[in-house]
Amino acid sequence: MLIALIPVLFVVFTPSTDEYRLLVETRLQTSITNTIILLGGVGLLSAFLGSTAAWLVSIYEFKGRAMLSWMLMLPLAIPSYILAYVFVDVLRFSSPIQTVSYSLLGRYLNPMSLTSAIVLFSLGLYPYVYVVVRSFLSRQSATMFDAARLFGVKRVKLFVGYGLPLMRASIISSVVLVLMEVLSDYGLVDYFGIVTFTTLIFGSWFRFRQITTALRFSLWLLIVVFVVLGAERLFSNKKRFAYATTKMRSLRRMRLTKAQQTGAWVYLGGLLLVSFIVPLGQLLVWASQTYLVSINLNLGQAIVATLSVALTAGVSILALTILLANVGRHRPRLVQTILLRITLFGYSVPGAVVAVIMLLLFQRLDAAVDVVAISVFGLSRGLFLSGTILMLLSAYVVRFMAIGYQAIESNYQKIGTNFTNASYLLGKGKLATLWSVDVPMLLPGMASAMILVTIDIIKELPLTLVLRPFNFNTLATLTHRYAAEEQVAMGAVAALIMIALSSAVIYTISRPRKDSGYGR
Amino acid sequence: MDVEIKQLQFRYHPKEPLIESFSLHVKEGEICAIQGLSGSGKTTLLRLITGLETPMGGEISIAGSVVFNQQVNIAPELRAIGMVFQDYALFPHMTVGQNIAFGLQRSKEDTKTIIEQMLQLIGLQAHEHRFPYELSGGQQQRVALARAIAPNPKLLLLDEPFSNLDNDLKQQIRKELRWIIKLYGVTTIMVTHDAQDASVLADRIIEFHGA
Repeated sequence: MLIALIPVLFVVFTPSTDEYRLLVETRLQTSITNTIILLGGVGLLSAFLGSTAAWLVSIYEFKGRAMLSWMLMLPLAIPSYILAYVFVDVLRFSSPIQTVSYSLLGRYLNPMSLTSAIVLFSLGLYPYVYVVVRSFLSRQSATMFDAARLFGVKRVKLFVGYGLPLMRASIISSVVLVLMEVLSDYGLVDYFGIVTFTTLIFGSWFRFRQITTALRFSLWLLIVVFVVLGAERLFSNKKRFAYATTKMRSLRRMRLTKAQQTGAWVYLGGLLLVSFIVPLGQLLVWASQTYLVSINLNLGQAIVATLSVALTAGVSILALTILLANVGRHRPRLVQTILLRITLFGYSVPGAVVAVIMLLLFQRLDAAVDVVAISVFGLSRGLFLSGTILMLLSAYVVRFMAIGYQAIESNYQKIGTNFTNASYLLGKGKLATLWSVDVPMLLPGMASAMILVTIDIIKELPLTLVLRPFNFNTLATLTHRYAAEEQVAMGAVAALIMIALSSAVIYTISRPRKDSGYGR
Repeated sequence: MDVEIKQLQFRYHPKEPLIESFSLHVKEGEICAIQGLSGSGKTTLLRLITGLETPMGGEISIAGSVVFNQQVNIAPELRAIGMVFQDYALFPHMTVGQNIAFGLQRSKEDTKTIIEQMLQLIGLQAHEHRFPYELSGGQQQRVALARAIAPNPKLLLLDEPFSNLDNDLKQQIRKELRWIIKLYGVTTIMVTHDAQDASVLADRIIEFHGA
């Protein structure tokens, strides 16, 4: 991937095209402004929604808390672009919400504005903050909060004065994940007609077929990514806390009064309603209206295509990550860190940039194959690898390797090296040890890695749009195609299948488990 | 099968030698205890003997064959060393029988016979199909020992073999372990920080201070 990034950097030294200059003159400033506003707005709003929700379900006890606790993760199952399609319809000119808005504010709401984009991104992505902060709070000691309460600190001040500073690092790191998703998005901003670096990259390729122009905008986008990652380091490194004692008593949730319970339900239930239940309901309505025509051969082909690319890429990622993690685990810490950084890098680079790099890489590969074909067989093969499914699969592997690597690596760390060493000392070689000791013990990690990777690929849009072979549709591209053709309702069944698959995964991963005793 | 270690050297950091010119001779069938404080490098010494770490210098010979010197470095899986790890490292996805059979490269019938012999030796005949997490700490330790000696190793290494057991169990297991090792006649090196462990189990005790 690092080698693949070199062309992005070298593009600076190539002469720019007329189209690039035109886009810079007309669109660059808007793109920078939009990106800053989007990042700032979504960062703040998702941090607020995610951290307050996590705080409420972690610190307080109320009826239905356990159910709400995992349901609040469900919006992750709905890709931002689908949320956008739904809300544009919910806020259509003749809708009751617009009527209320006109009678109260004297104007109609613009469902396709930058503000709407901020709200929708935040509603769809707050679960990143919610999950990270909730897991952070579950590891905190009760005594700290008890001490604060003994000093007479009230509920709101407990959150602002004690909670927020404590959660700061976890909020920042999770907001960075949210911002990466915003920078990667193409579906929502394209639908709303908001100019960002991603739409410029796509425009350069789809409209002008100019890879160097797309590469130049990729470089701009990468600069933004590095600024965001740098800011994270700057803000989170300074505020890391360590406990002065190893004696921890886990949090005991505080009971809420009846009125407070209602308040908590209104807030959390309202959040769930707008971010998951309303979109799901609208999709179901659309599906009921269109299923007779939308359940067709195209949908069947899209389901098969989606599952086959997701599973193939998932298995390839698993095999590669096990190989990489194995190379790393018996090496010094520095080698492990370098490997981790390389794999994580793919996830930090937005899908559009990975797509452009892959296009370039496969063009070069084709040129090399052509040179060999001409010299050996005396005939040109033309485009041999570009535009094939292999290009799309390679891009998925690069983009989502980090998810697989982290799941496998954390499992390896849990297992340690003694089992492997015991196997070596009992006369087994590296391959036999990998097969008979490591792989069976890694199975839970492999399963979760496979599930996470598969779901991300099922929902993936930008990479797939650019790199898919001709006439090849996944559920995501099919939904996007219908939306682009102003036939959003026709994509509802495909969208519902994506959401059902993702929700099932979220439930499988987050449901409470019994300890099997395995590995104790 | 004698074990000979000459002028062994090792360091994790260039300026901080952990083991400096360490030499040791262990006679065939002898149980030798290496006793020292935590962090003195005892476990590292065992890892150097097994080949899981590579020494900076010196020579290690097992049963007359050099397994490490400046020219030779035999891979751990080819050194024919059995080891009982501090946490036993029993494979959690395998039963007691499968754990014991893991290092055996024999025919099916031979493997079955050896498993039966081993289970009889450690008194766990009824536990062949149990998983490690279904056993007590003492039982797990005996299975780890059986797994280590089943392939008939030239040398047995024990890393703090009693550190995970409570005091009452320790008393009983120490004697049992010595009896099994002596019955089997395998040359053994154990490392421990506990003087009582060393005195009950070993024929000879060496104080180890590292570099």
